[in-house]
Amino acid sequence: MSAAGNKAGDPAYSIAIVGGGIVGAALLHELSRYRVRTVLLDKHHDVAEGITKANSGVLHAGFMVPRGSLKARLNVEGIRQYKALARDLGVPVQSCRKLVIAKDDTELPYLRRLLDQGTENRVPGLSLINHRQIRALQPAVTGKYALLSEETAVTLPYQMAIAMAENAVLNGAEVMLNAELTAIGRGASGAYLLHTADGRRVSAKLVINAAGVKADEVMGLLETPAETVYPWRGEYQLLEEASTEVVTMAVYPVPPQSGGGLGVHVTPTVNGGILLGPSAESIADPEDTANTAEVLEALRREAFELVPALAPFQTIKTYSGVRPKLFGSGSPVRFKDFYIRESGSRPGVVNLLGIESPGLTAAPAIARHVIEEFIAPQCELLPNKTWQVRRDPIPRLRHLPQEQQRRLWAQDPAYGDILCHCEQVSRAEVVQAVNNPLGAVSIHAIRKRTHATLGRCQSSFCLGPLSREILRQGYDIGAVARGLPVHPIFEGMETE
Amino acid sequence: MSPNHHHQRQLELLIVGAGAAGLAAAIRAWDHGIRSLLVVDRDPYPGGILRQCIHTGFGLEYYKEDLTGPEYLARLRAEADKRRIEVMLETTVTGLQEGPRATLISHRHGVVRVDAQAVVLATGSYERTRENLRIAGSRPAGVFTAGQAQQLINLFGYRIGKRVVVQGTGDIGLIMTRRLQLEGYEVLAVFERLRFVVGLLRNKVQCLDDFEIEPQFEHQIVEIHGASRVAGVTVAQIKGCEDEARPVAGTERLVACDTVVLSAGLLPNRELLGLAQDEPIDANLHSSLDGVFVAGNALEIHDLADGASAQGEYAADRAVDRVRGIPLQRTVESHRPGQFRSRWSVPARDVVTTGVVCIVCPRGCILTDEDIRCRRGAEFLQQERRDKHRVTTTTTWIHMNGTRVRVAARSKLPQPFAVQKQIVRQIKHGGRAAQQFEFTDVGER
Ligand SMILES: Cc1cc2nc3c(=O)[nH]c(=O)nc-3n(C[C@H](O)[C@H](O)[C@H](O)COP(=O)(O)OP(=O)(O)OC[C@H]3O[C@@H](n4cnc5c(N)ncnc54)[C@H](O)[C@@H]3O)c2cc1C
Ligand SMILES: Cc1cc2nc3c(=O)[nH]c(=O)nc-3n(C[C@H](O)[C@H](O)[C@H](O)COP(=O)(O)OP(=O)(O)OC[C@H]3O[C@@H](n4cnc5c(N)ncnc54)[C@H](O)[C@@H]3O)c2cc1C
Repeated sequence: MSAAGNKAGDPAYSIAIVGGGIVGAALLHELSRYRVRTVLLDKHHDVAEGITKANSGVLHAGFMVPRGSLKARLNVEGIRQYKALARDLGVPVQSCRKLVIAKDDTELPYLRRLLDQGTENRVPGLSLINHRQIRALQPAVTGKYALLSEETAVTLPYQMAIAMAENAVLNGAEVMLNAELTAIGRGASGAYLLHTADGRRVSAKLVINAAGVKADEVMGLLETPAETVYPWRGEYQLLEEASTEVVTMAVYPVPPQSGGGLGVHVTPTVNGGILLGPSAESIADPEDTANTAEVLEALRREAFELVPALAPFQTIKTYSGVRPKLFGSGSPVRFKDFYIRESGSRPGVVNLLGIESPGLTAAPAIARHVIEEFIAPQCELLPNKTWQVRRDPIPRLRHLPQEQQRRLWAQDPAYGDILCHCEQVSRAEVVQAVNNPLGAVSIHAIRKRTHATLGRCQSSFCLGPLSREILRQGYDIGAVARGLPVHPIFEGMETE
Repeated sequence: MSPNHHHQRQLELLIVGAGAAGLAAAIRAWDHGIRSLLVVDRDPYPGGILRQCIHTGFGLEYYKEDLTGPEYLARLRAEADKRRIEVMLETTVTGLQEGPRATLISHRHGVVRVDAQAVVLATGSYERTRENLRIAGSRPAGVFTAGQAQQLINLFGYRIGKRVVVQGTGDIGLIMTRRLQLEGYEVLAVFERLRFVVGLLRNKVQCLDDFEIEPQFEHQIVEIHGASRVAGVTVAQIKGCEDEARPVAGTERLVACDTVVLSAGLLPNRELLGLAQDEPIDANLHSSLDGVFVAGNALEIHDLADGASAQGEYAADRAVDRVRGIPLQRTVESHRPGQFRSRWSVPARDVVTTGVVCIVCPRGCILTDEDIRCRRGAEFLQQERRDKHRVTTTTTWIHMNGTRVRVAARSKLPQPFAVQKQIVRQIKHGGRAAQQFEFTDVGER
């Protein structure tokens, strides 16, 4: 068990990170390379339960963001770093490439602007292509022109955040889960004193606020937030796995004028199945990730305009994610850069606001940026000489050649017990997920680590067997839904 | 256990799925003289959906008796065991290719390649999920498909909530409406998209009428609420048929509940056929993958297990011909849906009830004093008027030689309707009522 088991008390940390999304996790991971005591707090029962688990999962090449912005620099640096880190940590990245489609001549100037912008941002692998070339690349896609990006890839954002957090913990960093920050005070030594909702306290010299859609609220615990975070919801639906046959590249339209997002696009997923979305709608509650009937209809309509051949496929999953934008729907503003600054009045507190797209892609570069700009000047960063990649990725039985499957089974016959049928996830994988270094135990935690329950049946076959496996690993029925502390999935067990 | 152990097998016939269809197919093939025969199932116990269908209403055609699912299964198993048919459990077929050649994986044998002369695919069905229906709202815990709820309650012994709304009056929805009440849940409402009860008449009578539940027709859950656990649903009246059905504006209303059970229909599971799964199955039940036959719910949804078994036998007949090299009668015809439908299965919608519906058998006669068709019917009518009695079923854990075993319990005689819930509670706590019950293993430990 990790720091999640920490009792009340105040160990002095050099750095406390608030928020275990991709940004917090990347920072924790980078910091674990140094001999510096770092802790990450997240209010959920696991990392990657916020925006990081509900987005398009696209590694953007960097042509959508204006030259000279922090977004542009961190995006272009970030994609390279992300790909390298993913390789080291065994997180899947699939080079799918991307097409931005112009339906007609009127949309062509937009593609040219993107191409210029990309060139200015030093994005490699961009070209303009015509309808014949589009056909040759993706027969199911119609359009007159397209911007082709060779660098664009898709990934599993939540697995990356998990891999970074777990590897950091195995290298000595600490993670506190179910730790919602509710107040920040000052300790005797001048350190910040972080109070959690369940009464734990943590003291740290530096505080990095990477709380996603809640980052302005967290900043508000100390001072008036520098920016308001406006939640913009994006709804998605995932089509059944067979839809993968239809398109292999990410296909985007020319974005709508509203400024809310990149437009409903069609994205292949690492896991199989085509993702439709997201919509863009300004909402009131940053944690309202509901789906709406109207948008779910509209998503299909708009996506099928781009790729008509997807229409026959069934939806197997709906979800939504919330963008933390720095402007509202009424605002004339169409672009705002990441806000990454140290507080003027509260030295040692670094706030990250508005980490919307391309925040996933940029996360490793954001982490380096925060360390170089704000942490290194205030903290001695000696290398952690024993640092190494210590985390073994959980093998994905289904995608291995038979020879390797046999080898795994010979080591552990539990690889032969399939618990989740749609995704063919074995008991061995599930057991590794349950016993993860963060101590996050729930169906959700298993799902993110193994893909169990993500298939066509959406757990209708495997919820029981998976729950039972958690019990067999020594947890109680409440743990089956650790993420849902108020109401577990099950009310309990029959008495015997 | 060396990794080279049992890498490969050659068979005449491979049957995938040991449910009502697969087991019947195996028995039939054996009786035709096929000995190089293997049945595989991914579950720890044969039976498929039969294990969790602990209510009565099985086997009237096949065994001429009113059995519970587990009892029907016990019969099939006894037949298979008598013949020493090899049933390999906890073994998943992960791939099926031309040949036909199948890839199996299991704890005991690892990855095994099987080359067979013919395959019967009897892999059952999927349930339509909330996601398939694209029901809007948040995504809290507490939304279950009906078969999932049935599995969790009957096989695993979990309590899945307290206050439940049910969507759908297909048989599984009906069966679960009754089950939930017998097991001490509160069923707040049953909604049905169509204008009539979709399931069988006998299920309507025993699961709705008995409990004085009037489904709300042309109503559908349009939104689910709640942060971590379901807090309620919005239902609305809907108009229009099938895909055109839309909620009527202004009719939305909120129902507070902590659990939603969705019975939105079953879809055949032929995923192993890969790209061929959507291609037609011919009148020989032969798929477009050469040598692969399909039967049971994997082919079409059967409302009675007897139909699934009969179709399994039919597929076995054809598969045996194939093994023997007897050319299949060439056919361009596709299989006829409903061909194996039992004459016993009477949908509720076909009947306007004016008298007492007889539930002694699934035929569902309407009994009046003038119209009594058999002796058992006459007895039933008399009893029904005096004091309603029902065969009572539930599941419980018992201990056998130090092992905890999940068993289905079924009352030997019909019990007074009014005390059923108490009886169920007693059975779960090992009370005296147990003497009046028979117990059948459902294969959970
Ligand atoms: C619809 C959509 C599509 C997107 N598509 C892409 C894309 O294709 N490519 C790309 O690069 N980017 C994309 N993004 C952006 C990207 O997903 C985000 O920039 C990134 O995930 C942000 O990560 P984060 O760590 O800042 O936030 P989060 O993942 O939300 O992490 C913040 C964490 O803080 C925790 N927290 C909040 N308050 C507290 C508190 N008081 N105490 C303790 N913990 C707290 C939360 O639990 C949460 O885990 C998309 C975003 C959206 C919404
Ligand atoms: C709730 C409910 C109530 C019902 N009530 C009645 C009733 O009262 N009376 C009645 O007669 N009938 C009833 N039925 C119908 C009847 O039970 C079914 O039609 C019948 O049992 C289906 O049998 P099957 O063999 O086709 O499928 P299943 O029973 O689903 O069997 C399929 C088997 O295949 C296995 N399998 C699937 N894929 C693989 C794979 N890749 N590798 C290995 N194994 C695999 C599964 O584990 C399963 O055991 C009811 C059904 C339901 C769901």
